Amino acid sequence: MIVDSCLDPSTRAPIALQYLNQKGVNVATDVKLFLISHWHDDHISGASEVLRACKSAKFVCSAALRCNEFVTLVSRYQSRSMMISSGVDEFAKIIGELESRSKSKKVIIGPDTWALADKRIFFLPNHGIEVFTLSPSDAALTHSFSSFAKLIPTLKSTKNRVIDLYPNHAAVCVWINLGKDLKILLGADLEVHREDSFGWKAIFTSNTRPAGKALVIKVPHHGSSNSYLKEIWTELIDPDPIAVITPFTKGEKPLPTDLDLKNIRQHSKRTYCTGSRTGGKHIKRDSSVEKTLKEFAKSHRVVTGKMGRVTVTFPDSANITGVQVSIQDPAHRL
Amino acid sequence: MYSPEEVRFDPGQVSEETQSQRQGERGKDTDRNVLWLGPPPFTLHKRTESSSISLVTGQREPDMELPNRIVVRLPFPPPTHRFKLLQQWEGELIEIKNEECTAILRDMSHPENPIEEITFSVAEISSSDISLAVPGSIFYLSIGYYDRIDGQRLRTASIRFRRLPAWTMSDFKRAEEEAEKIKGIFGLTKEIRSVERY
Repeated sequence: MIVDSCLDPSTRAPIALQYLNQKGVNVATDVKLFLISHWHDDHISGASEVLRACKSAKFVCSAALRCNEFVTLVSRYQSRSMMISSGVDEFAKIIGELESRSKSKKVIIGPDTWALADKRIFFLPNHGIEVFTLSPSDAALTHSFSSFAKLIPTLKSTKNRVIDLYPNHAAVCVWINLGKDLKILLGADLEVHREDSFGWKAIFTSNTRPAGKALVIKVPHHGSSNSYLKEIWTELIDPDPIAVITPFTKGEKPLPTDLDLKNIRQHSKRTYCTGSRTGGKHIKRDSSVEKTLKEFAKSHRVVTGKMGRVTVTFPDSANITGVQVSIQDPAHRL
Repeated sequence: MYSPEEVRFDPGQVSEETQSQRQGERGKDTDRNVLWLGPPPFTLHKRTESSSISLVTGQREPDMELPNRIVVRLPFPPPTHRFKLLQQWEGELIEIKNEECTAILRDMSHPENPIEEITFSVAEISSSDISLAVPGSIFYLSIGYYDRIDGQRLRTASIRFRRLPAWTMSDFKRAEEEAEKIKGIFGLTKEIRSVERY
């Protein structure tokens, strides 16, 4: 199973494919599920390549995308040609892949599953493996249609790049049961909303979500305070969890901040970060260029550095005490 | 040798066209080279009732129809400077806040380099570009040497926003064909589609 996609900055290849190929996995036959949590660049880059390679994988995306507004958005922006691509461009390529699948099988094949709150999307009864999506909620679904509509370009407006939509209430949160006591929560970029019917509060208050507490959590939205809700940690997460944070180095305030980390670490003594929180290494350039750039810019930094890896291994799904964690630089334990 | 009334020429019309051409070609190098020189210095004829007398040969010649509007394109003027590019990025403006712009940059000179983020003052944007600076707009950041004709060399960083075209109805029509295809893949039947935006 692959959730989301990003590119290796040095090879420009999808990291998930690189890792699985390295492990000797035949991605064409052995990957059964490919899920995109939402369409932002940092979650979708290279997704069309993953889908092409994982020929037998079922493709899952948010049900919020199955609306006329999103279709209009993709169809209008996909012809834009710029060096900087957007998540919409990548989604257009995914649609191209689905179209190729349809042509080869001579039947229309769209996303195999539209993710919604509390929906079981995968089940292997012999192994006791189940995958659920915990979001988007119905309210988030309705809200997202109008949000997409706001991004649709209007007549005579300039053909700029489509801007990302924040906050993203339509992101898909994933719950994986690997055994009786071994559960994983992948928090995507879901945030907390003041209304109970949106975001994490909708998951927390739901009485139809899968039962149990997760041992491993991919911390939502890069550990930001917007996604922190004490009840997530007390009601959905094991008292001694393994927490993995994926840092976000773009923007005025890279995530997680020190305060964010303080929030998370009070619930998890085993917290890991997959990369540097401040971005990549400085690029060496011609001294004249460097000098002029320093004069021109108030601040300047590399945002996508080398990507690390946090690997959580379960030797025995029936015995959670044997769980092992290994890290690859620049991933580190906090 | 000639006076304006000897030729059928409407300076107002010419001036108007030149202005509209300049507006139409604004941002292109060619517009600097379009000049109106007043009455044309060639093929001039003094009109009589049925024919013209050539001002060059003095011979009577059949009447000729002179054009009402003439635009003369001169060769490019000699350059006053030369720009030696050292480094160029394509940028996307993410946010403008407190007179500061935040943007992501992709290195066009070395595409293998990772994405960078930059913050710079709004004051760095020229007055002709400031209206283009909105989130999502694309610009080029260039650093290089500006060699003047007098031998002076300046090291500069210049920011130039792309003059992106506007969305047109024909763009939307083309997109609509693509949208129909996607709707088929998404299984969006007409009954559950929501209201069209335009």
